[in-house]
Amino acid sequence: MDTWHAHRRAFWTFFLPPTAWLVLFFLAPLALVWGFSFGEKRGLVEIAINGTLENYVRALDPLYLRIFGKSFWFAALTTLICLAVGFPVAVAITFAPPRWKPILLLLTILPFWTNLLIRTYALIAVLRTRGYVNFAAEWGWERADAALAWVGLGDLHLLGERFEPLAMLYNNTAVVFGLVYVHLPFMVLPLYAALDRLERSYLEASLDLGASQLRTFASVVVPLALPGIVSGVIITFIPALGSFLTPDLLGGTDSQMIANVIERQFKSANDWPFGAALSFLLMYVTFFALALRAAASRGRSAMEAA
Amino acid sequence: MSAAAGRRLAPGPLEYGRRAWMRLTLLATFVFLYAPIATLIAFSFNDSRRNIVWRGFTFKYYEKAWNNDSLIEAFVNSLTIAFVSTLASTVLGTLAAVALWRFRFPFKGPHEAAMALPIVIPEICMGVAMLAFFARIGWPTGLPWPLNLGAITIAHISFSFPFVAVVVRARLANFNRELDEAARDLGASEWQAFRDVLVPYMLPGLVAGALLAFTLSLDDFVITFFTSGPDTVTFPVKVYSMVRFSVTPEVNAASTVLIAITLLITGIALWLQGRSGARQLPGKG
Amino acid sequence: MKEVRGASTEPPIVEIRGVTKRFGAGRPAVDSVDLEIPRGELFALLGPSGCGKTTLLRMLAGFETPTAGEIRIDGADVAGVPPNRRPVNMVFQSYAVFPHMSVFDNVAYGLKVTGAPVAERRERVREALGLVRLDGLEARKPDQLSGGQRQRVALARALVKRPRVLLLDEPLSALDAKLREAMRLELVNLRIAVGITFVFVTHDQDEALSMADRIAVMEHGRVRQVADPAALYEYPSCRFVADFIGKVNLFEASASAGRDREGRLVLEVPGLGALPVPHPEPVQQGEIGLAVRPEKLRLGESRPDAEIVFEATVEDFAYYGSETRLFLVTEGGVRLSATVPNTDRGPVRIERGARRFVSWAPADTLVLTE
Repeated sequence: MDTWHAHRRAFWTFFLPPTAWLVLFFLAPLALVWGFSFGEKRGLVEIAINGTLENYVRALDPLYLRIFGKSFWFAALTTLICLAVGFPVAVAITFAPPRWKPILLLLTILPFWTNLLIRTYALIAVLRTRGYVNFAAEWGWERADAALAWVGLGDLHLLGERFEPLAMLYNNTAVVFGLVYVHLPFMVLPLYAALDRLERSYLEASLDLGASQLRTFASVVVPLALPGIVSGVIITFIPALGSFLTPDLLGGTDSQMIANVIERQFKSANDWPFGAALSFLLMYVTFFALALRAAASRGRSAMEAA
Repeated sequence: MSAAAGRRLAPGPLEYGRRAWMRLTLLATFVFLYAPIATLIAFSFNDSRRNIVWRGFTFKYYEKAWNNDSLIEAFVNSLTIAFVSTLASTVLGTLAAVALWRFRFPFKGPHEAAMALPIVIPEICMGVAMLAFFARIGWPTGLPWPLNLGAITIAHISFSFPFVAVVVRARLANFNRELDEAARDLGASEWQAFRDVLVPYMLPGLVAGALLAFTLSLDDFVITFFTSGPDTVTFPVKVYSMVRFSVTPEVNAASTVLIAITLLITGIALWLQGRSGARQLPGKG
Repeated sequence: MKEVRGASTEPPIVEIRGVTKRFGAGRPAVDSVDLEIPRGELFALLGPSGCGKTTLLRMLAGFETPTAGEIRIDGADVAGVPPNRRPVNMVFQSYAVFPHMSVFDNVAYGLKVTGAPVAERRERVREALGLVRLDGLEARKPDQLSGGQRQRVALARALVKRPRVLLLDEPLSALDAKLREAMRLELVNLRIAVGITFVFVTHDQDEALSMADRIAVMEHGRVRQVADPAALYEYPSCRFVADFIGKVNLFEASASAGRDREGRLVLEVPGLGALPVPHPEPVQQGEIGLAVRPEKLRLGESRPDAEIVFEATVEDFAYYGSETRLFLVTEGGVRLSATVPNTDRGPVRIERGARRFVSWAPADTLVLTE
């Protein structure tokens, strides 16, 4: 690696354009919103940045605390379900025959690359009252009803007068379902990366020394894969916490998350300072989670160095 | 390794991939991930407005979507933004990657962290930041096409180029610096060595990064949602407004087209990466 | 004779005067090195890893700038001359053959960037590829070549520039053992064919001994000795060189008992007693080392008529095919290793615990004052 002052011209050629762009069109907007979070709304579009903490205080209002709490709960539940589902999937991919591995990995990554909006839309199409799941259920109901009529029990309406479609959308369950659907690949990939790095001989040694498969899993696989688990948990938790589209499209009036509140402050409610404060609270949580992850990976390299 | 390949033996102690319940988990997961999308694609070809009973194969919803002017306009907007954003992101991302790979400079750690921010912060935060920023600096609205797409394009470049930088830098990490030195030793100037050796070496990373930037731009909804106005609707934003309204086979058709484009681009990117990965030359460190 | 070439009136092609290179604080990587390399020599920089030999080579190529000192190539001071303007070319350790260019384009690259006409380029590339016996492979890509062929491309690519000095950084280390052996000879012949000075860096003493006209042995950034291979092996100037090149039995003399009637130095070695060594130069009292190469030791079952002889027990032995190495301990408790060529076919007739008489000639003993 060269020191920058040994090749000043080359250095500035490479360094300046991206850095200037980042400062101007990314850091400056962020700084502006950060400033707004300490500001006060004066008139329709005017905001005075006067160092007030009022916006942050307002975020502690029980109404918003409840939404924060709910967002955390949704994100945590999502992460937990993803971990429970993702771990066996990651194990299965890790120990799959070599020629299957890339295909399975590709299948895991591919949904990543499909538009988030379209994936969410697909869930709506499948789950809504006139959706495919309900259609299949209705078809089943009709057959069952006809079968009952055929054996002479038709008048009793054992299955109800009419088919009642299942209400699978616009509630909290739908939001968590959608979040899991969207974020599962985020969990599987770091878990896979950690498991793939794991030396097979550790597992073999454990089995050879008399531990059962379960015991080996608990006292060898999990501790060694821990950095990967931490990484996966954080990588899943952060975007889940900041989700906007999933609760917006799949949730009911009671399933709003922080991002939806932020959006409302900036669009319909037009209270930018408060929206800015909420948005930066979300950022602080993100930074905290990232710091945790960095600490975990530092712990890992320290462990490997030892 | 695989002795007795002909016979079916019980899975070995570490052959978890061959255990039935493992396979079942995999299968169930992939059904969960793919069934909704597959259904959506399948029913875009269904000749029925009600959308849920299969009544035969048709392209008519594709035709309908094609004749939907506002949808096509949004699509053209999306492609325009994606092209410009890809071009700029690739250049900026590559410059950043080379700068970080080649030079030691003060505050490099914080610089790298700042460069990673657009990748890690919640989209909503970046979205509102862009909204506030363009409103504050009084970015002109109502410009003629395509200049009216400027704000969205700038936002897209901001979140795309760090991704390009990551991809290109990963490629550079395996570069054998002796190649650059060899070019210099043979009489090439610094610029000639860069052009003749480093750029060709980075090329697969460059292309993969560009394709990534393209799909990121084409797919983005949240950040675009905050930077778009009534006359600058992109495809995802248009689909969003249609989805809020109702589920129609036209939306299915339009979504299918977008999925196809994304998959095609992703496929090319993965193929290129695989090819460049297989061509590693032996070299030191 | 090599001495004659060095004494010729022609100025040396490479002059290195007081060159020091520091990377940050701590011991310098290269420490006040003075070297002269005469025209047409095959010169080796030999030393363990981290001794500064590669840094020295890279300073000749222009990739590192000396912290102090002066480098002259063909009489001209090259300070501040960038690598692309120096009359030297390098064969890199990894060969650094451009993976995206054909063999032809690789070899032609150095001519192309300096603007040589197309016809001349074609002619010179053809010539250079012929020199390294790669004719007919012009269109191949590097990933279609073997390791040995890639090395030839790297050689041709450097030679086509007709450098005053060709620099080679561990040229054989990336090849497998068999090929390495063959390439040694080929490099020597190639140098004779092109008549260019070759400077190569190696950590492999066999490589240096078998190829080089002269060798500079380096340790901790300093040159410890410059000599032709035989002189280096038989007359090492210090303990480091004696130990680094080949195998050696090293003893520390506790005192000098003066000179005997024949004027030989008599040194007292603990466990071995007084040993006579021919060494006309005066020596400082104390810190004198004695060394004798294992193959100079004679072993016999009966006491030979020799000046230096000890009775010893075989502790261990190892069979190496062409020779057998024995590890012995004398009655005085001194350990010795001896190498015996396996001139006869048949089982090794030695066993642990056997008694042997060990002897060597006083003239085979080296005196090391450093």
